Amino acid sequence: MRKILASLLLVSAATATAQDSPENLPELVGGSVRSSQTIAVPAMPAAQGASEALGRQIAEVIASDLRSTGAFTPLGPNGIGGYSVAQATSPAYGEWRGAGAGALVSGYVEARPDGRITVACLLHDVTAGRQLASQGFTVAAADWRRAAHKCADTVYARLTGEGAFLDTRIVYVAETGPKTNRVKRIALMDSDGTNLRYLTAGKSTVTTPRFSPSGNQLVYTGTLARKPRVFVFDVATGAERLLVPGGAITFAPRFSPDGRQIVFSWAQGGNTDIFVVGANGGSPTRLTSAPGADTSPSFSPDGRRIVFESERSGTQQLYVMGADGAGQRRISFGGGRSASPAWSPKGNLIAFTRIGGGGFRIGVMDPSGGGERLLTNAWQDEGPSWAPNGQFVLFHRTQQGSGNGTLHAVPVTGGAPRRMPTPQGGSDPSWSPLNN
Amino acid sequence: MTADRAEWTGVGAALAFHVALIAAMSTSLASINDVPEPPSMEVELIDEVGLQAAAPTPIAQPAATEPPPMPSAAAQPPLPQPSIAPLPPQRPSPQPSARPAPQPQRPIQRAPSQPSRRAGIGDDFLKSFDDDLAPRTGPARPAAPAYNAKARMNIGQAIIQQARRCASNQPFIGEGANKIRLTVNLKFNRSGRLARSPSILGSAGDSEDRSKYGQLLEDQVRRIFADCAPFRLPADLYDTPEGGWKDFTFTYRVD
Repeated sequence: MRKILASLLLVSAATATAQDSPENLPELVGGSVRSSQTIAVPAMPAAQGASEALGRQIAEVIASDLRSTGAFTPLGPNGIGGYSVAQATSPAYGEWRGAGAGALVSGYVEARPDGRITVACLLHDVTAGRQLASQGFTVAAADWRRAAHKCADTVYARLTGEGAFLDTRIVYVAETGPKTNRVKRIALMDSDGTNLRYLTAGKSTVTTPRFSPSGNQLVYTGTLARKPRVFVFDVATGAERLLVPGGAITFAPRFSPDGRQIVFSWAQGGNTDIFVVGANGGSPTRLTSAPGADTSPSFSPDGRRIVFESERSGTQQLYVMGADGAGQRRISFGGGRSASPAWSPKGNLIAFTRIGGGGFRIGVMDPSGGGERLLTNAWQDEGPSWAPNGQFVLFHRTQQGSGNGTLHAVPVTGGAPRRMPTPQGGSDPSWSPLNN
Repeated sequence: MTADRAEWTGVGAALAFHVALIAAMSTSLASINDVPEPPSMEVELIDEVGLQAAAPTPIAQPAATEPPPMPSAAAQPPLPQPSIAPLPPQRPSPQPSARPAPQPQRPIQRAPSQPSRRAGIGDDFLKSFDDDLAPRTGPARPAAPAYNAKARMNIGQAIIQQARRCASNQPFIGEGANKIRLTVNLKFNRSGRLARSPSILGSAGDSEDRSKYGQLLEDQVRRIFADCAPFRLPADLYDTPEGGWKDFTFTYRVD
């Protein structure tokens, strides 16, 4: 009898275990609706002497930032009601549900005795009726846009799981004047197109400006004595210096991920090869020596490899090598040419310009060369640069006929490119790291 | 053209069967009104769901007032004057306008006021609880049916089926999120609403994907069971000696 009871208990226990294992549990499968999320961004109320108008302006920037990501459809601040400071932390979820919002950005603006402002930023899941995030940003009153960008970054990161990228800047070559006499200046702007300023005077041609990992410096190719030369530029002070003193013809520079080195091309003796040098100077070290031009080097995010383009096979193709130049191997194949590679911040993709079929298009591929796919399909798209979160590729598009250039950002997951708001023509864009 | 004898026999049998079926259904439906109403119960408001975890979860769950898990944001130093600080803790207070109307009715709503929810359940669900739907006359019927394997399975199907409408509305998260599977435990109250926030018992999948998307999947679970509540389930299977839908565990994933 005991054996029978024991057997029954064992069977019962086994059944319970089987029922509780994930394989035997009921399964609920969620959808993957690919439309943008509706998020309410009403005007922020003002507290302690802050301006009501400022609260609305901050909400407008947040809404604009979120719309630019393509992941959200903001409601407001125009056309929807506001709320009180108390309601910023205790919103009427039912009312926002009724307005059709799935999420809500609330907050308030507070004036501080020292003249600065604090922007409180809260994110709510309206459907579940709970707060998802809260942050406060204290800035100089003139920097209110940065607080708004930070708030938008908080929302974007919390709701998508991706890294922030909205509080950033873009550097590019601003082009003005007729096609035969273009004036090219290095321009710096916030990623939403505001706060534009020119860093160079336009007396000489400039190309390929690139940020340092800290965002405090740029490297770019300028001209000196009618020869291309790489300059290192301090963003805060405007001071600049030659990367390689003397008469060396240098171009296509990029910082290493740790900011300690700069890799670039050096044309000498009828050949162009890739070299690396300390960001503060020193003797350059040769990394390539094959016949045919080697250029457009870009470090992997771990700093251990470099992707570059080379004509050693007869046409422009992409190659990967170790950071010391060892193990050089071709990764782009198929028809056409491949140029101007840029390694993604995540390390899993390389963006590049695919040349062929009568056009220049932006593509991505695995660092091993597989999985190639094109992100754009226009007449001439080139010069890719990654957003710091690796979700967007910035590039410049040249219009057929006029030759005018515009800047665009395309999601790496696919979708329509979004034109970046520049007041004039532009080329060679580079996305900054997140602002400090 | 004339029907042969076999066809007439078949038609007759079918008619007889339908008459019997209609009679049985009429009896069953009529008996619903005879079931005495249970005492009114406290209804937990949806606004209070999801504010605090009911059990430890393997997925990092920041406190309500802490910044969200944003590695890139967290790594950034504060703005020029480093006075970025979390706001003081605030618990959203329930908003009267947000509250659904209290439902003092018994949890089994065989004549529900929400046709759309009823349409999602289907005949199979009702058939699976034929004992519960049968006329409750006579002393032979036990006070509560057994929560056996079949009942457990049927309850699971009913909850999943009712949640599916809200689950299918969830937004695309990102590549890799579809490789994660959460094991989730729910605690219902008798009204068919969650008595507390869903508990994540475990998660399977690539650790990088889980780190990046686990929180978002958990958010979806909270939204689904807030949005689709109250769940209509048989009252007598809420809490039996063998278990009941008071405590329900399932897995969640996205397409």
